[in-house]
Amino acid sequence: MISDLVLFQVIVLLFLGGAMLGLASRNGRFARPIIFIPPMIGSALAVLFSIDILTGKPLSWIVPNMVPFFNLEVFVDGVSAFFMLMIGIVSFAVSLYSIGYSREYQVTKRISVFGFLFNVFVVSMLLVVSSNNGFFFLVFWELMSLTSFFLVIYDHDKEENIKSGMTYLVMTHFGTAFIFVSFLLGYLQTGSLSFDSLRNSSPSFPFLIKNLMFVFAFVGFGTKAGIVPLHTWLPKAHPSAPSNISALMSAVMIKMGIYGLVRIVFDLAGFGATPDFAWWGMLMVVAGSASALIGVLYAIVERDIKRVLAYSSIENIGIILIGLGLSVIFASYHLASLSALALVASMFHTINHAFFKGLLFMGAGSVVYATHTKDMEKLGGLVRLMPWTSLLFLVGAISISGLPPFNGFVSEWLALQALLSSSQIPSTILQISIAFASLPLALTIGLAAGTFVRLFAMTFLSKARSKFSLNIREVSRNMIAGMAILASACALFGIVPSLGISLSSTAFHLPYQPSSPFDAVSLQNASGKSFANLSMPVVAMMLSGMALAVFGFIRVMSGKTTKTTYGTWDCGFGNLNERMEYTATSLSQPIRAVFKALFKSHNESDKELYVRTNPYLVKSIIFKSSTRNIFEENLYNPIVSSTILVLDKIRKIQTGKINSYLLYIMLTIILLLLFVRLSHA
Amino acid sequence: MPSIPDIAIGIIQVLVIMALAPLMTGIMRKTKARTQKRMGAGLFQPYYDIVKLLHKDEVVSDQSSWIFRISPWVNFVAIGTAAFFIPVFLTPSPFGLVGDLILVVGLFALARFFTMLAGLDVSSTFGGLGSSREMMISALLEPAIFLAIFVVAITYGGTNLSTIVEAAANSALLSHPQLIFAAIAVFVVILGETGRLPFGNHSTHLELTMMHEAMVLEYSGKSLALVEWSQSIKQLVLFTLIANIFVPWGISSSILPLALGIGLLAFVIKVSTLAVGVAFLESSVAKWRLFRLPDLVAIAIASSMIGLVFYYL
Amino acid sequence: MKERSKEILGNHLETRPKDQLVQFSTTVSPSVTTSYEEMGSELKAKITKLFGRSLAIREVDAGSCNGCEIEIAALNNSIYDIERFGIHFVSSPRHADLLLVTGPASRNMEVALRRTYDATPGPKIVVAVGACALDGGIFGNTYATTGGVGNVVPVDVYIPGCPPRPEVLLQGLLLAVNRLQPKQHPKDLKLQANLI
Repeated sequence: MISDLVLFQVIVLLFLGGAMLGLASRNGRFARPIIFIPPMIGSALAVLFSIDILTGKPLSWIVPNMVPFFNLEVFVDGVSAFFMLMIGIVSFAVSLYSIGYSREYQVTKRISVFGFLFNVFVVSMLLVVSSNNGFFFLVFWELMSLTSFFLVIYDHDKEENIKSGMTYLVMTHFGTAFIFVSFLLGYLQTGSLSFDSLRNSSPSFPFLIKNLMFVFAFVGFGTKAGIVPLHTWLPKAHPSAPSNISALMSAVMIKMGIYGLVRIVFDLAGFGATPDFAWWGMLMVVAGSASALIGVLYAIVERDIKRVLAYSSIENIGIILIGLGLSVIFASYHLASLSALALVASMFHTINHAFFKGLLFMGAGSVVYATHTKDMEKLGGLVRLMPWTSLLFLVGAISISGLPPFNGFVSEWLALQALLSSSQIPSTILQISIAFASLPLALTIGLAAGTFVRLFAMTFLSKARSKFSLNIREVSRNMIAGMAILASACALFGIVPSLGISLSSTAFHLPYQPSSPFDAVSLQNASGKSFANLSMPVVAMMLSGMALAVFGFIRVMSGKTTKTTYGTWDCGFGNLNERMEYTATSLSQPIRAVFKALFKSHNESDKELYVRTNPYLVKSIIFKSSTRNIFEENLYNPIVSSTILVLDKIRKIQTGKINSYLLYIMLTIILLLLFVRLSHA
Repeated sequence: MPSIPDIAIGIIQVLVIMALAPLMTGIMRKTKARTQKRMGAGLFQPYYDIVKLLHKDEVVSDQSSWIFRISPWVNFVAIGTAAFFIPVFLTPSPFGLVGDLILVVGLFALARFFTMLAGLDVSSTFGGLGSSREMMISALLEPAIFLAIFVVAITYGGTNLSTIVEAAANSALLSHPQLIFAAIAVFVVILGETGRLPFGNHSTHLELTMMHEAMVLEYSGKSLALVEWSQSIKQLVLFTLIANIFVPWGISSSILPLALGIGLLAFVIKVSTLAVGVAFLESSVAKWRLFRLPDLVAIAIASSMIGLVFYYL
Repeated sequence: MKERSKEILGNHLETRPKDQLVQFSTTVSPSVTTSYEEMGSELKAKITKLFGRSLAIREVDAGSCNGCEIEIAALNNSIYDIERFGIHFVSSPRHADLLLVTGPASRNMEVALRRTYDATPGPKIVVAVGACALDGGIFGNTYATTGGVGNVVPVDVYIPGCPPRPEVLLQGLLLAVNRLQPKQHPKDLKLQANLI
């Protein structure tokens, strides 16, 4: 057997080799396999590696003074392995998918740069979760952010993409700064950036330092994860990036924020099981509920497929955060088993979201690849032209809507059970506020189903809404295979959730192990009776049994009948065309009307008349409806414009004349001399 | 491992629900007819309708895909499976170990997901209209459902329906005042979920006033039979829920034949009374404007919230 | 015009001359010999056999003056209450067993009527209601009408009257159900219609 360490080094080298091969390759026929096969092997090995860690011992590897003053410390424990497993599975599927998908870019751009960035991006994420030193954590974090930034603006011909890339760059560095401060606070206490020393001495930190570390980490990692109101980069960067990169970013990269938060909260910031820390959890629950609800509300009115998915990522990060926050609250009141339940819910949803969001972004990528449009209003009817893509996309849509028997249902079920268990917290204020926090979560789950009905129906069903559908073909086999891997993972984790549940509880050393594959979850109430049980394999069996029974019953009962095909019922009009269909915008109109305070939707209609004096004979009506982004308008725009205003003022000192610069130098020297003199006095 | 008789009675309960479901629709139609001083169709009319539809041909839209074709089946299978988790006339259920109230809500949501897709699949404006409205109402109802579940679950210690119904059957009358508020919420939810007035009108012929009917306007023959039958099963499942959680009188806790008989009788009487009540309500209110419905849902949510605060304080 | 109607109607007109249609279709005359109750129960028995005691009607207004509609609407009121015989009106031809057509089948409604007929799953029955539906009635057979429902879709029963009383409508429905044999296939039905 190869040791874990060698395996780890091999994985890193494979990705680096892939990156080098990428740089060296030309735009030839074999360029794409050459670039994407090394990360495929690397990802597969990463999956094996993390399973090995989860079942065995943690890996610890230190290279002293790799960079002067800093040791490269690698520490892969269960938590890191859990996230590595997630990265491995998703990046395996995405690499496979990319072989076909990047053909698109081979024509217009240099694929070699893409290959280089892709490999570095994936390996930087693997290194982020395995580094055990603040300095290297930040280095890899920055590497991940920068490579993803370059990948976002890879399609740099469109000015829009450059703009969203810049927003992403600014926001991600804003976040990094907060993470840096959080680590710095730890450094000031321990004198070392090593996580080990932080881990050992953080329980004795002053309470204020712990709180500050948490708050800074929350803002920093929250920016990466896309918590409202720090989410503004997410719906811009995800749609701009090539779809395979969006899949990686949304499925895995934003989870690095969750990873960092979990690390800081449960490992590094000296969390203690006292009610003093309950407010950490409450902050997460509140931020999570807000993110979930606002994310899904923006998703349901959006008409760009990829932006819908991006907003839905914000929503799912919200659900993950609610679970995480509940876990912290329970832990701070010594409710260990409930804390485990909430943490399992949160982590299971993390990995589930990685699967279905990766799948959905790849599905969206296939649609864009085939039709060259992201606009739902122009799509439709693809279910006949792209049968496999639509089937796999449907699996993703059902999973993300939290419907049985797929994986999203199980993790949302766990999260709801964790919410229901909040009645055991011995604090009335918390009980009531958590109960009320379930309100936005339930609304989110309802709206999410609507969002994905809308997304699937507008993209794949009914008639095409524009004249593009002549040359559309199903995407290549490796793209379908990439999606199929994640779709089967969704189905597997839905039907046998004990796999995912035991995986998350092993990673976090929780006492929460399903006793058999059939027994997914069983909770008990105070009097020892069953609080709730869920056994998805049996549910799946019952569903299929029911299907067989109904099919047989109808077969026996019904007479000999025929099925004929005829036009859609149009009240006999006979000329139903695609312009009369419901569109994405009209479908969500009731939702827009109900939540109009949030959207501030603006309708505008312009009538052209035959005769100006006669308002009844109308030649044409132009109707425009737009929604506004209140976060952009009320939070970011004032900040950006005031920053620009201040910087404009400051710019005036840059006169360009040598005399004035000499004056600045002289003034500086005088000020410095004065400073030195005064400080010595 | 539950015993064979337990499972058998569980399955019999589902068959009872499936068999009685069209009868409840018949009772409601009859009641509505009587309030209009009409004789109305016989109580068994919904059965005759279903049998007739099973013998009719199908006309399928040329714009439709396999989604449209499987939707009635998914609908029936999801709703039929949900019926397994509801105690009908016997409290201990072996299926309580498999799923709970939230799974029931999830299965209903699965059925609705496919119905909405089918409405949009045929590129008909009516289907889109129905799906659009259903999307809004169902999303708004979700918090009302969950908060009501919240109140019930913390009162009776679980979302496992057997636990809930057993605890309810053993508790004294009105010992949990918060449940009254939850019951109000659940009642509004049932009206919304089954598309009863003031949410929607089952007997409407005008497409513009439709909600659920607009989505199934394209179905014919077998598919329509499945849609209608599963719709009545869903209605009866919801009636059974409200009857057995909030008025668990007469429900049997053992598998003795006499107790089961009394349980079955009590069940039929309870749900029929509820059906008659809902039909009376339908006869006395008009359909609300679509954008007034959120107010009604808000009342349901507020009611559950009051129930929650009642419990905790 | 002829080309257009041919395009719309296919070979329908050629194979089924109008006079034959009228000749062999059953015409109902208002009868006072049987009571409304008796007729109703007879109808119920027939429907029992054929449509499992359930008949769904889709009403199609093919250019009517709405006189017939008023009488048809009366079928639903508490005096006539057609629902007690297991007959109900539905909102889509997909749900219907019987098309109740009124009006002279005006040119503007020709396509719509034809499409409604095709959209109805078999076995299906067509009942033409009112004098106009018979042969154009007061509107006559002009450029604006097709001169009767029978020229557009195969009609099983004609119910004359301007407008027919609800009792007569019910008798017509009875006759319509009488004509159709059990387990008859739509293809056979068309064949039969062509033969007669």
